[in-house]
Amino acid sequence: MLDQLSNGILLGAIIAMTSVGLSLIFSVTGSFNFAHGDLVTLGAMMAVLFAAVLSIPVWLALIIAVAVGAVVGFLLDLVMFRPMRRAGVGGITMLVATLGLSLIVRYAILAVGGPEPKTLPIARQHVTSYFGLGFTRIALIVIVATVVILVGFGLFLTRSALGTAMRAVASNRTLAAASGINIERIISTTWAIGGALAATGGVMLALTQLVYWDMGFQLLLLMFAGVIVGGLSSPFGAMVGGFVIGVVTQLSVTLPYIKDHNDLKIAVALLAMVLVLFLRPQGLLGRRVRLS
Amino acid sequence: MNIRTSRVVAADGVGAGVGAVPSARARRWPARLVAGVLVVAAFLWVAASNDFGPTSVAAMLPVLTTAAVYSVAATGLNLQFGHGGLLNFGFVAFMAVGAYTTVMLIPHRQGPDSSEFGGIVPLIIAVLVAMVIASLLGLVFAIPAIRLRSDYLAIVMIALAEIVRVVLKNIEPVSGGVYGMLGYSSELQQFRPGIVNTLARNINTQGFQLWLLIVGWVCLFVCTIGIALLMKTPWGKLLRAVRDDEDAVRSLGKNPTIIKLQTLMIGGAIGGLSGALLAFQLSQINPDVFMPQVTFFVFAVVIVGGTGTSWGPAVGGIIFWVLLTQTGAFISENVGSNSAASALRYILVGLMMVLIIVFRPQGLLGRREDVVLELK
Repeated sequence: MLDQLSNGILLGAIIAMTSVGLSLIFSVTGSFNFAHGDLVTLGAMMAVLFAAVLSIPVWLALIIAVAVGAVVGFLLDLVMFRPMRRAGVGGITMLVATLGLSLIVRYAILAVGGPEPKTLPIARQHVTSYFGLGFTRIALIVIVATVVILVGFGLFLTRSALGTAMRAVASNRTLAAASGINIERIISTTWAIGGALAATGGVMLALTQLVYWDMGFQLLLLMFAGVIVGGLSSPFGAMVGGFVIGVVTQLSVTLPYIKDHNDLKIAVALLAMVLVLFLRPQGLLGRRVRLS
Repeated sequence: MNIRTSRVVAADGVGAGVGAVPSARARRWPARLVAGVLVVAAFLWVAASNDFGPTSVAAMLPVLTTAAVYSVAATGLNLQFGHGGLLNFGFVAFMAVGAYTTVMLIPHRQGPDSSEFGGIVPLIIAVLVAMVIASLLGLVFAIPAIRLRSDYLAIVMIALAEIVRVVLKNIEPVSGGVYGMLGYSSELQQFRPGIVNTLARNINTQGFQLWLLIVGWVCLFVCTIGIALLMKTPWGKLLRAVRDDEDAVRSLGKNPTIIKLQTLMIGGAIGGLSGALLAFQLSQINPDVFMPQVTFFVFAVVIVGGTGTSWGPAVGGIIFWVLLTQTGAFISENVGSNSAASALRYILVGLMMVLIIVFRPQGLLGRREDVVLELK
């Protein structure tokens, strides 16, 4: 039980880390990005590429991976999404296009990197007890780093001029434009930050588990669950939702039948998401948003 | 009452594209010509890669069988997304339920030790039951479809489909778990007439392959013509009116909820049928056959052929699968590595989805005004 709780907190940290970028891009551009999970994988793969293949020190490789994520996010907006916005395409077009993009990114990773699982060159970790819960040191670092990054990101959104501008674009694009905010610049910055956040999540996955070519896509539905459970209109929502989904997923493993059929924990998490959508569509922390 | 109201809807222009005026029909022939030329070109491409030799026809059969299976699925999805505007990203669940129910009810082997299971009903009844169960799943899918905006709906439906797959994977006594089910192919092949064998010998192929193709295409024609006729009825016109302007339909005293529900059930039943066909085409099934990617492939078939058209799924299925298998063969010859080759095929599908939805959302045969592109 306690083991599952600590696993759940770690999974929750990773879901929180990855779903914040997803929710940021959704709230600013108005479109879910189905390729977000694959941007997470890309971040993890970049970390492996720089650290294991090019033998750069791990800490530096992680930073480079995050920077690459930001550049990829920015470029995706530049070559794909900005032209689409200019052409005035609808929401479903955007959705199907990100779906296509997710296939492209995922299988490009498979074609280049191959199907074998990969690891970062870090020493094997021992589990030690912290606050009565067993964590490896890296897991603890990942959890603490997630909380620090997410709190920092929350402060950035609420306190800085850029963050305020992003929230303004998210809540009312026309009014934001009228008050002198350069919408296009904010959206491309959002994509860059979203890409960086996805890559950060990927880096954290790479630190705590084997890296597979479709790991991000596997996680995508849990990220959606985190975003939806937390509430879309609140910057802290995705963070709380991510932790809730992570803990619910892992704790469900202690339930009678699921104990012997661990895969079912995903079904439990997704069911939780569906229930939240029906019972409290604005999420745990969100304000009431329009659902048709 | 039914007929009168839908005429009012059509006359008001609410059901855009309902009243097919001659000029609109005349405008569509170039698209049909292009589609026809592309289908012929697809056949020639396969023949050309066999040097137009005696193996040409035989090489076409597996591709056309896969095309038929996916086109049947696309017919169901097209009813939901094309005609009904419901963004169902979890369509594969209908196929999974259809495949599993069919196989469960006929003699098969399943599970880790391949234990024998006797049949419960004849094949045809099994398929019908499978379609009914799949349409009941449509009832479940209807709950979110009525309440949520289409982007949330898409996510919930992927989630529901994944729940179905993960559950199938973990109820081993019922579904055979990860080992799935096999050894049921003869249940379809025992109905193969002798003439199919003779015919198959003449075109250098095997009887079972030709029989699969025939069954698949008969199902496809029945579904396509059935849906085409259905869309000409007042019910079909009302469905398109709901897609185009739900509030207008409601203001005329019609209930959009019921029609969405019926759409998901009918589309679900067709999805169940395509799942049964897929099971026979693969000759063994396991939960990982029904990954979310399958839904995206079916979507690609719908989009290529033409969203909201009658013959789009059939045309799209042929062109999509010829393109996919031919480029796959080309890549594995020239790149060598098989895993990279199959990866490149998926990249091609992704590229096709992006380019078509952005530059020609109506696909080969469709009309732009029939494609729902805004979130509702």
